[in-house]
Amino acid sequence: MSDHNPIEDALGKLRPAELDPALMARLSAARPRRETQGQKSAWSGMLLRWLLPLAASACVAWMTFFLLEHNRADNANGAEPKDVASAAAPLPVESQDYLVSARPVGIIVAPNQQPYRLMDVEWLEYQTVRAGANGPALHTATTRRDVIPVALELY
Amino acid sequence: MHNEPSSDEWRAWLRRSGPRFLLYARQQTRTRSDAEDVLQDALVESWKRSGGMPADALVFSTIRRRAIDLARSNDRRHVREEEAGAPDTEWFSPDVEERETQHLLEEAVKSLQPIYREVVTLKVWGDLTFQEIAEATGVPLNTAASRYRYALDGLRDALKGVVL
Repeated sequence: MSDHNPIEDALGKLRPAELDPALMARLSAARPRRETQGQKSAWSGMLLRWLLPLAASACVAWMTFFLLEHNRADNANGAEPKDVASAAAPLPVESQDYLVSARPVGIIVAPNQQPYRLMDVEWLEYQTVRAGANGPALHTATTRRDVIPVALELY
Repeated sequence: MHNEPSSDEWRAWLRRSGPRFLLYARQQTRTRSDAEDVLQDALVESWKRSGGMPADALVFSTIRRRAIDLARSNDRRHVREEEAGAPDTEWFSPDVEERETQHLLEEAVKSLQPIYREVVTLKVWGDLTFQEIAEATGVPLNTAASRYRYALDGLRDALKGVVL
């Protein structure tokens, strides 16, 4: 390639059109920013939003456990052995999952260049088991943690 | 986390490199509004991905990918705007002294096949090396270089008789 190609020289004289004021203003406004205070508050708000259900669920679970233990103690004192046996093999009758917390742990970029935010989420599995049709209900609450990818739109 | 550019830094970068990026975006999209959308998305994404001021090659490749994504997802809007006859403004700043020659040259550039015009744009106004052009466009280095030569030949033929 010649260093003095007249076509290249002529092309070099062309200057791309300047950004018009409206576009310049628009792009200026699109300046990347760190996570704003509002976004941080949103995370805090979300945690608080889930904190209340978590506390309520834990309270219900504790009270249920307390009552069942109390009931079991009563049964041990006077109930028939058959009832005790059936209570030892409870069957799940209801189950509900509650999202307790969601915490961002990082961002990955997939091979297709799509970024994903990895979220560490914690679930409260709230299960009701009952021994027989008329047996006492037992409520259990266990936690489960997952890391899930969430597609991230970049703007 | 990315480094947040200051307002002055961001605007200076836009003034310095924005015209080159916009030129490429307009060649990669069908309408001016699409080009501006793609440009904005690509600038922000490139800055975030590089954690600071991005290399030009990254911005060009991001513009290219965003334009392809837009073309795939937004055909209906393109058709509507094209039917409305959205005007296409000049790609280059007018030069009062050489206006006629520049107009002919601009028309010659616009008449190039997109694959050749893209390489010329990235080489001449994007200041990319052939290696960077190859990476940005996903073609082998030799292909990028030969496309550039073909493009210059095409422009030379189109401008035969014009004093440059």
